[in-house]
Amino acid sequence: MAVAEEAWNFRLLGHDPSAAWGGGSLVEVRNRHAYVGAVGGSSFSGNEGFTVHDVSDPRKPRKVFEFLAPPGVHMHKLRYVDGDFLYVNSERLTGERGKDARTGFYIFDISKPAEPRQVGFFDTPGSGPHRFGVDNARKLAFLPNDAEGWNKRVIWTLDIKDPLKPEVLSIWGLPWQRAEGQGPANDPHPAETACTLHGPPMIRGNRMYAAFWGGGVAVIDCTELSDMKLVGHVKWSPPFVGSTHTAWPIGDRPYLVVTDEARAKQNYWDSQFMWILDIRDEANPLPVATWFPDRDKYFNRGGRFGAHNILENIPAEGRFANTVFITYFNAGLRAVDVSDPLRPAEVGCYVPACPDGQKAIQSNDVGCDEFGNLYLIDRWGSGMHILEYTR
Amino acid sequence: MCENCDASFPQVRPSAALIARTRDIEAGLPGDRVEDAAFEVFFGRRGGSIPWPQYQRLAQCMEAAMASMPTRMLCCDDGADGALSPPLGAERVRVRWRSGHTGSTDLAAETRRLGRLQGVRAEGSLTSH
Repeated sequence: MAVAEEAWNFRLLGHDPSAAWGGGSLVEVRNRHAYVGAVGGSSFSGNEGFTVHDVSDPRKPRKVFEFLAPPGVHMHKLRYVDGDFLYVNSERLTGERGKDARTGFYIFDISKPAEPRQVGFFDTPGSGPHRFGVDNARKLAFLPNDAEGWNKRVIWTLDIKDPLKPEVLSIWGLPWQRAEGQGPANDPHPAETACTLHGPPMIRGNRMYAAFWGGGVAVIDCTELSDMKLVGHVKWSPPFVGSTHTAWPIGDRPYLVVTDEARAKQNYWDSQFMWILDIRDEANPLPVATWFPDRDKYFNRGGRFGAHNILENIPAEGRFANTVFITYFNAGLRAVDVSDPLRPAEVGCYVPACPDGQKAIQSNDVGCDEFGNLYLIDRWGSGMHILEYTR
Repeated sequence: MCENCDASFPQVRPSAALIARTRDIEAGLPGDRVEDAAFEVFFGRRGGSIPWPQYQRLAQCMEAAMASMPTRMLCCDDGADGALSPPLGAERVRVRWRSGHTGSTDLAAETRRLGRLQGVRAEGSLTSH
């Protein structure tokens, strides 16, 4: 059933349903090109791999390149690396399909933005990295990856000064993830209560913040990357569902925005949502507020309803200051003002039109270009919507 | 993670009776009352934020309300679109609430929690390390 577009303080500039063959996971926009990783066949009837789109004119995006993953490989997360490189994960598909997968990440040269060229591969054990991050200012990459002696995914911190030759600086997990004598785990899709790094971890000053799926949120002293120490931790699963996805600071303020990822089976009234954590006392991070869209409105839309990821930058100043752009699956993209962290307030939303033939809108992730245009990615067929935030 | 739960699951709404019972229990508790707006957000009638102390109080009151009501009264009471047939829907509500929020599958434990709630001792629901 077709559902009309919903827009408040957003304006649609362009739409490319071919992004990631319709089913996108994550987008990076650089040099007037959008790179979109695909959710693939496990949750959408599309290919595994990624596509590239010329967005020089955001009103007329067009696909210029596609890369198909080898058999057994899930490549849905990608990150731009300074020097015109693109890292793309190579995660193992579950079960028999992924038994022969080479896990780690691909390194592409994108100096010609429309013609990515593979120039390297970084191998990692186990199920391979999931939602990894790149900090171009610090020349670091953070991988949620399995490791010997640890139970499930932990934080791999890589030095990427030479993007072609990443070097492991440290492998660190929560103390209770230690599993001495065990080989790397191999669980690409752990349960929502599993203590496994989701990420991406991020660094502000000498602190790293990381979300651990069923394992809560950690504040980590990373003064010495090779000797990181847990400073504070909070966990709410159980009693809450879990699937803690992202933890990101609000500018330079002592608060974190945290999302738990919604799952279809928790759709609606017990769906995962957005939290604000007070980290004034880092040793004792505390939730202080929660935020939800109007759930009743999306009750009959189908698909998942609930939080997923945010635009991974909440600046202290500028046009987007104190604004969280959060994807909410069938409730699209929401803009939330967190100036008062105790009272987050919605200030805009964009829910793409759901065309006939598509079961539901499932807004998965959001990216941004150098001009402040937002790129909203749908995982169930609508591909990429390019938006202007008009507030 | 992001890919292992895209299946369709039937959905249920909380019933008017459950909402009313939750409000009754909340009204009977000492301490600061939860704002009307927070009730509306909690039960999905509008969007917005809920301060964490109010969220905890609401969640515990709803849990107590569920433990005190017949199963058939928990879910949609109007047969609106998306609702399950009452017996199946109600049971699903209860199971979802147990497994998703309390981690318990024991109705007696929920009833004991109700007793503690009426004893005005908030349960700690977070674990800090």
